[in-house]
Amino acid sequence: MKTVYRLFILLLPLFVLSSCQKDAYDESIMVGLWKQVSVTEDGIPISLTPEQANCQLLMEANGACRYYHQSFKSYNKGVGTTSFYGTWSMLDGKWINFTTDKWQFIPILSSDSMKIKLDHREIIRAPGDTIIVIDTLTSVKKQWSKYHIQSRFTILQLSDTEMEIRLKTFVGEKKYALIFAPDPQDFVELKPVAAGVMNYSPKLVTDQNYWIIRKEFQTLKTYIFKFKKETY
Amino acid sequence: MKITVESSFFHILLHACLPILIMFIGTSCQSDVVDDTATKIVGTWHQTSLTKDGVNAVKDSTRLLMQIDATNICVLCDSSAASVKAKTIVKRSGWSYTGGLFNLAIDLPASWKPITDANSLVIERVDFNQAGSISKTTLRFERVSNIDFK
Repeated sequence: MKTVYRLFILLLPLFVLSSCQKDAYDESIMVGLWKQVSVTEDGIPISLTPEQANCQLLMEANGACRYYHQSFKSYNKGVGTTSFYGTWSMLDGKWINFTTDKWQFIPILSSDSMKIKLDHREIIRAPGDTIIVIDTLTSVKKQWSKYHIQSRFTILQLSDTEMEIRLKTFVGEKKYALIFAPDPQDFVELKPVAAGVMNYSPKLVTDQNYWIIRKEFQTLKTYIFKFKKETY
Repeated sequence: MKITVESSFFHILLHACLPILIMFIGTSCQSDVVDDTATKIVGTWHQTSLTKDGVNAVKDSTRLLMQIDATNICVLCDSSAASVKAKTIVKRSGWSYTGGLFNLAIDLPASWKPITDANSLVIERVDFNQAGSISKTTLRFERVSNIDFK
């Protein structure tokens, strides 16, 4: 009996000390500058445009997160917005939440023909020569509603040099959002807009792409984002 | 086995001490570092210099004087031409200190990393420039007497 007690006393510190070890990731490792290395969709690498390839995340200890990408750099005569922001937080050392801008898909269909309703405007080219064109600025504002929402990523790997995070979401939720650098071909420049007003939006919804986009919001896929830490 | 007074005492002691021992070791995992920066930055500060990526630049006229008070209100004296013309020199904002960063509401999402002692305050922020590089802005302040703003 005495031997059992002695063994127990000897093993106790081992038990208690091992309970101090973390089986979760340390939040402080997240803080810093991360450069996007790759993105996969259902395990298949996505070829990133030069504008997306340059994506960086600056994660700060106060929970603010700033993003850099060049998806809208060509707007506003080449000096478009390149810096964006949101928040981040870690949950149970296993998940990371990012809040980013997203757009809700709300195009209006005519009730009789199920055709997309678009706004039009007249352009007078010369006296007596008037043409009617689609008013893209007014139309896209009615088709997409911007909001700010949280996305929860699973942390697959996190070290001082690498971060790998996974998100299962609808294709449209990822595509028409700032997670993290959108493809420029999915967005359009809004002009003319006043200085300081957001001048980008998801593309114009027409009868040709409506069902494609709608399907994107019903298709679930798994995305894995890989980042490497940069010094600054 | 013969149970002696000594061995019984040992068993009682062992069972009594076990929970205490576990509590001791468990709590030893927590750290006790105290950061008093939030207290130190309270006061009125006069801007003495501004550097961008280590190079001296023109002072930031939007905050030549900054009064940080203990109730998380910050008053900035904005001497920029637009504010002088509009007679909006005194600007009020909120502030907080979280995660080692000094957050000024009007500057968010950017925040400042403060370094302070009794009479000086240095705050540094980083931003992405258009090309994607990180640009550092450092503001230096010296402590001055408090001012009553109306």
